[in-house]
Amino acid sequence: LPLLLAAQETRHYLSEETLSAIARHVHVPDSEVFGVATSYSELRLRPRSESTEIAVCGGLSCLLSGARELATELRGTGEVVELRPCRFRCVEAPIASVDGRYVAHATPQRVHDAAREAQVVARQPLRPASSGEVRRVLARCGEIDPARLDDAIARGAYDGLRRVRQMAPEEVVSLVNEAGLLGRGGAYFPAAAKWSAAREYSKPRYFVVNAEEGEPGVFKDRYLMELDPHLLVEGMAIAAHAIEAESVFVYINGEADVCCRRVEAALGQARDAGLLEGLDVEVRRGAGGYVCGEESVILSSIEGYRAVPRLRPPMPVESGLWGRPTVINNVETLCNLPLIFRDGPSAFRSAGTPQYPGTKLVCVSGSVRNPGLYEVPFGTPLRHVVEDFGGGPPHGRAVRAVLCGGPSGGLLPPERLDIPITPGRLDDGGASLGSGGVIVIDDTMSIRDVVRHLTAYNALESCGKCTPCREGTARMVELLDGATPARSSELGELAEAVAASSLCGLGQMAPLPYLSARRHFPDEFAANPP
Amino acid sequence: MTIALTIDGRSVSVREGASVLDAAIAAGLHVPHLCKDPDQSPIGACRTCLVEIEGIRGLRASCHTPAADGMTVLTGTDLVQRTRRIVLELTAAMTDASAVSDRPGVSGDFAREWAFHGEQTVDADRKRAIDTSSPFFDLNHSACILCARCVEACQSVQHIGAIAIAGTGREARVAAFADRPINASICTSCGQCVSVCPTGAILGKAEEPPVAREVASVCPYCGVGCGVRLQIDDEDRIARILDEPANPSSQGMLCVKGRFGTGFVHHRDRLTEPLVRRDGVLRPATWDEALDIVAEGFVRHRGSFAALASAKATNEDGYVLQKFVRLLMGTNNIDHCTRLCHAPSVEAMLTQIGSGATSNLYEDYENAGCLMIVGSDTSSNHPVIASRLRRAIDTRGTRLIVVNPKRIDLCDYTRFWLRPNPGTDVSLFNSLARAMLDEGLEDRAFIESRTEGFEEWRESLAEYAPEETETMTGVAAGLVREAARLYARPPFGGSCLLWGMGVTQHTCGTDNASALLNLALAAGQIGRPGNGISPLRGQNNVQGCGDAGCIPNSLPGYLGLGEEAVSAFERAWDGPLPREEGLRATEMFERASVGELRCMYVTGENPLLSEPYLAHAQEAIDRLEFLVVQEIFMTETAERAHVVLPSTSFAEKEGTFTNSERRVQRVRQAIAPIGDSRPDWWIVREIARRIGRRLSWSGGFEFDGPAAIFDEMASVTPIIAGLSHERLDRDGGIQWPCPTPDHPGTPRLFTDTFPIGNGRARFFPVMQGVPAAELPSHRFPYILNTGRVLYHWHGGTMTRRVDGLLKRSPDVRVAIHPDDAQREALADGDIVVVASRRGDLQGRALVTDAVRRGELFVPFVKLADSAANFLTNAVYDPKSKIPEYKVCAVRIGRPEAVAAWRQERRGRRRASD
Repeated sequence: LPLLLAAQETRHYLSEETLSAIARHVHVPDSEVFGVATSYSELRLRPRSESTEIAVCGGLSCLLSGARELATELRGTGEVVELRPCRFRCVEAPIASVDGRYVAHATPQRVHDAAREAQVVARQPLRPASSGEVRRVLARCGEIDPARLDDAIARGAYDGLRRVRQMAPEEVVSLVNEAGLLGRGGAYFPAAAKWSAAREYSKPRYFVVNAEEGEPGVFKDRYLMELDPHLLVEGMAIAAHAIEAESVFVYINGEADVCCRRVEAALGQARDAGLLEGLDVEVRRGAGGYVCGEESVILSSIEGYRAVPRLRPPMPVESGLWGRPTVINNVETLCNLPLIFRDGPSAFRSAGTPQYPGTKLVCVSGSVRNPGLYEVPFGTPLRHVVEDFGGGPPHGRAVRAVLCGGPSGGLLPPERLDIPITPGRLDDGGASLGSGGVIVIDDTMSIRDVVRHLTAYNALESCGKCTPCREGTARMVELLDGATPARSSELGELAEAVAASSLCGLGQMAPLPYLSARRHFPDEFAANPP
Repeated sequence: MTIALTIDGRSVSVREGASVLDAAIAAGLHVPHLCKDPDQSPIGACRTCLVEIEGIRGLRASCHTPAADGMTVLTGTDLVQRTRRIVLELTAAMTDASAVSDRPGVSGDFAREWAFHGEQTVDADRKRAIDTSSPFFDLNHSACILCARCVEACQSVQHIGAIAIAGTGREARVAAFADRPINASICTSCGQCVSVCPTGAILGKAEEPPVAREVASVCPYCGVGCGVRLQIDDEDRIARILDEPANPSSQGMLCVKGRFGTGFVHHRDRLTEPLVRRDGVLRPATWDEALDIVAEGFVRHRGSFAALASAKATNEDGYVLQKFVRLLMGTNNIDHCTRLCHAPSVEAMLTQIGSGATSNLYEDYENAGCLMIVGSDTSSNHPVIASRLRRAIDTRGTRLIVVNPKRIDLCDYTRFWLRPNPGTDVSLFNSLARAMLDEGLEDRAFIESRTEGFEEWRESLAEYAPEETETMTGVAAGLVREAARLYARPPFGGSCLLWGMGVTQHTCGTDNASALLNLALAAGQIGRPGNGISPLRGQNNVQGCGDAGCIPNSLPGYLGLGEEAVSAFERAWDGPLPREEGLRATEMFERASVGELRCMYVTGENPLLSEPYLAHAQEAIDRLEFLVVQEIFMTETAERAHVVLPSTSFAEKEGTFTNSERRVQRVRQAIAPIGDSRPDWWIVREIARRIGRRLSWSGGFEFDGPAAIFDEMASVTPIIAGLSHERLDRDGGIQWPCPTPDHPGTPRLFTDTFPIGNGRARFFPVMQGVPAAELPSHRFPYILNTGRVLYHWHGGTMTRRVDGLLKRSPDVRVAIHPDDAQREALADGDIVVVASRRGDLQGRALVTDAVRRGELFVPFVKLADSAANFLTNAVYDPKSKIPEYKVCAVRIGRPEAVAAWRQERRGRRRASD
């Protein structure tokens, strides 16, 4: 995969000759290389067209922010415009891209300017803390120069690691256990338990940083990596110490170039400063695919295979990378570690609830006045985030539903927004916190359209390995479109079957938008539209 | 440890590591499953084997859920049934009902489930074109359910990787590289995918009539000895060949020839009745007439008689023939094609370690840390061994060293490709040894306790420093040193040395083999698990043919021709035996050409394709006064015979073959003999009985069948004394030596001692001589190398009669380097003529950098009247008498040039006369 990415970087696309040459170089049959190349959406097998390529993001947040209208207007000016799947910059919706360069808060004018000037638009800066926010992992973001190690150190970076280095790995694990840190990637598995499980198996062990973050509506890890990369590097070093791993892979989303540059720079600085002794860290880039956020898919991808999940058992902690015990932690999880060791577990537990200690990064986008990243203690009511931080929908619009947990999550009706933000399922309809994406949907879009959009996204992102996800989600879209005549019960039965029988989490959760909507908005699905 | 669980109320115990699906099957329950192959690890794609497990929410796919002690599993709950129904509907909707094939025995589950649930029809846009490019099978995407078993078979069983899953979501598909037709890929047509496809999406092209019965046997092609199951239809014809997962040599694999190449058995060209030459024409005769004429002729020529045994026939056939030749014809003039392949290996091995057999078993290749493959295009000639090598490389990280002037497929698996100039092997092997000694990497303990002559040999290497041999061999000294290090100190396990004809078919063939043996002995890479030496045997039963005594210098079991052995056999066979060594095959033709040998009995061999310098061999054959050929087809040799006796193919007789790892395996009769053909052993017995009567000699040929022949052979051959048909039927194939009925067989030789003199192996110093007898000249500027191709077997007598194989490889391809092609103004696919001082052939240019500048490669299969051996040189290794097939000087041009060349050749020959 790194070779494919590098070849694409220099040649702009992967010709058959290039693929053959790579196959020969790595002593792998060409068909397998072809299989890999067709498994990642960002790899191109055809050259780009000569003319300027304009694309408008067709993600949910962008649609809610007028992406469709933008595309129509641009087409009206004679441009060829493609509507593409979500590019994960929902905070700046609507997004357009011109020859791969992003245009935030796109308008026809800005797109035309970008086409002329070839400018690169930086990410929207982090908003100042709102009242009621508890900024811990975000504390240094925006306050320091992310390119400077001394800046970070002056604000307490690597204090935790220094302490950890004095401790036995077992102590590190037990202290994290005491703090009660749960994984922030979406599954909320206790971090210490995962580490302990891996420690049951013999060395060498691998550690993987999941910085793939390729979920519509989620942009928290990108802020962390761009604005405070040393926090991640420190957390990673602590975790590696805890499981006694000597090799670390940082798997960064293929589009997150700024993150990658800053993390690589931070790693270099930390290494030069002697902070990473005995640790071999390699940065790997993804190449697209929602499924790449799934733990075992990352493992396949790092090993250079197609982005498909592995069978479990064995779990990665037993047999992960190259058959060795491997722990995979999300960026946000790791960014909590320095704080636990700097301030102690009880300080960590001072926010949140006894059961769910600490804070959570919540990404708010869609139909809100103030889309952005917010850090709140667990237990904070969702309504607080949507209405007070996000500011609710723009004037004249009303909240129709809130999507929690992205395309694998569920829809909540406005009257249920008082539930507290906690890990796992937020309600019995299927909405869950997921990794912290909250998309506010207003009355310009029908629930049915939202469900169709999300299901279509899941069908598109299906890796294709197992039948229910590959065939079932696609069929759900057909049924939602009313393209295929169906019994009224068919969609529901199909959704339940896909959820029950799919191989990995993506497939199992792909029907959740529909299932939650059916529960909360039954009228929308009472009959097929004409 | 066993695990006890309950499934649908039934208690069942399974071994640790079994899946819930395994347990359900063990409990006699039917859990539908589509993607799980019984012999492979789970894939988890089809999601039909769903079950509920008490205490676990939701459903689990039982194929990849480990059974656990105390587990309670339910396979038929409402949830299971509802969900499975929908999954199967989704699956059925992928396919076009008319495209799905109901393949008994393969797709049981799919057929059953599909029939039940499959009322849906496929979306129009999912019907994709059928890839019909392969001559052996079609790939019909509209019957594909993406279970990925074919990809698993291609990637993880055969380790070829011609197909993969490409694309995501509904774009996912089984594809060759860049969605090209499968025939344009690296597919070797092994058909492993066909054998695992549950829906018939990949389906053999041949019609598959209903199967009446199935017979387990052994493949008739190469020396790997793969297990096959012959499925026979109502009309007593072979309907299909299936692989045999239980066979330890092939482990369920087959190559294209084994799986699709047995059509020759029923070919209309089969000889079906004896033929006798009358008035210059071969005319049909009865068996009695023919056998009488043969017996009379043999008696008349007693004293000037020689026989060629067949390495394609059974051990029993070989044993009877050599007994006949020795006991009744009073001569040791018996040999077989080993003379043309591994005689130098055997010669060198007998001299140095006392045995000419492969020391290890195939399994050792998969436990080795380093594999060194010398002069063998394993993927073409021993495809299933090549699969096992690739598996070791892919899954265990085994390192590979290839020594070959030609780029072979396995070169893709290594950076250690040593590419010596033709004929410089001794220099290369000696320099490898020298490099090893320079760094003190030799196995001191082994050398001291197990060998002799080390110091003398070490001194002989003085001038073979890699830096000094570099110019001659063309192999960089650094690469030699690295390879030597790797071979002497593999990353794990041991090092296996495998070699083929590239080592032996030279005028210095025996020296080449000795140089290799010295290397293995010095590194101590012999006699332990994961190491060893393997001369890869060509024919299916070339090992057994030698074991049975079809060689001029030894009685059965390699007991030699010493007084002790001969008198023991005289007692056992009750008659006098010759003591003088017989003629080797190549010597037979030399003698015949000068009129010193007048009668030959050629069984299942075709010297007029396999001997070098065919024009000369033909003259020799034509001088014979009486030639009897026993064959299944009218070969070039048979056409010149006085009597032709129709024999049976492997499918029509009982017996045993012994493969390259010394495994004796049962060959079983699957169909009645074609026409009036008879098994070789029967024909020889009948001739022997007639001659016995004429010589007033009775007895010795009373066998009523192969089992009795085997028993007699076992009684006089210690290495197989413990074997019998009955035991092989019961226990499967067994590796010799197996001295007693309760002996388990011997997977590995030389573990403690060598079967020679004082038990110590001998180093044998060898020196580089002239690289080859004939070197390029101004008129013949190219060096010709010969060998084989995957799709044909040897001269092609069998494979030319299999449609698919011929379609895949219809003409002789002359491999030529792009630069040379440019110089000769030849393009890929052009008709070309290649000529040597002895003859010419026509073929099609194959422009490829697999061969070096100045070198051409031609397979020795005869296609469209072109055979490489019209060109090759009849010069021999003095020790083993093998011809130098691998090097001769040739020129290449367009067909227009050939008339002038022939004229020139005739002129020169006349001048030299």
